[in-house]
Amino acid sequence: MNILDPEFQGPFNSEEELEAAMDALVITSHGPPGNEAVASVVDENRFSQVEFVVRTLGFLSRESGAEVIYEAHNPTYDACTVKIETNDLLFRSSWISRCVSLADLITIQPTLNNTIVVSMVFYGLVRRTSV
Amino acid sequence: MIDCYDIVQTAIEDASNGVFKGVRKRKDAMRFMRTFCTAVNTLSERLNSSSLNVEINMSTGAITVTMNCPYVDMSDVFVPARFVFTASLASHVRLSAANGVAISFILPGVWENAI
Repeated sequence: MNILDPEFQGPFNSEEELEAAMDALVITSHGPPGNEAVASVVDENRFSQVEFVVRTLGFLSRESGAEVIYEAHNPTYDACTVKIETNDLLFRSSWISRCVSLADLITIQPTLNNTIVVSMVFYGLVRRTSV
Repeated sequence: MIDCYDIVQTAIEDASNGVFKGVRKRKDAMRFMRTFCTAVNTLSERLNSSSLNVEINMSTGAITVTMNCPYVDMSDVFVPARFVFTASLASHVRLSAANGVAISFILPGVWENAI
């Protein structure tokens, strides 16, 4: 599994899988090959915010049977998207308030399957620094 | 435009004349409800909500305010800020598929000794 693979769209099944995905992001985001003048490092604070949201949604999905979809980090826009598809999801208000306040973009759209898809987009996971 | 407080107040009065007959309403809870409803009205307008419903759990007194929207886009800075504020006044928020997207805010009841 590689979350930087554009084809990857699978949900995390365990905390170990999530940890492995985070490690992959840290290792593989150190700048484009051949451009040694600029290094990209994961903004750990921002990443931990995304991690919080993913874990919250992951927890809720276990409770409700909803499906969490984690889209690959897009290096062009430095964005990653977390989606959850469900027909009914109950949050403690403090959890959803936190998730909403951490995401840069949020949409909730109905589907033809009588479900809704909540999409949260997070920018700014990678900081570029001169070396 | 539908006024949230009008609907909530009507539902509360109906319940006060029914299963909660004789149970006192907490004044602070009614003031809180007005603040909450003002927040819902603003959010509902920004999200182009098509309807607003209020349900009261006759066992616990919990009040659920549901807004239905065709689609929710929180790309405007104001909307998530208002959503966070509105949600923070509720104890739980439910997102579900019903007439598009249904956003329900669940609040404790306004009656004394209500859960």
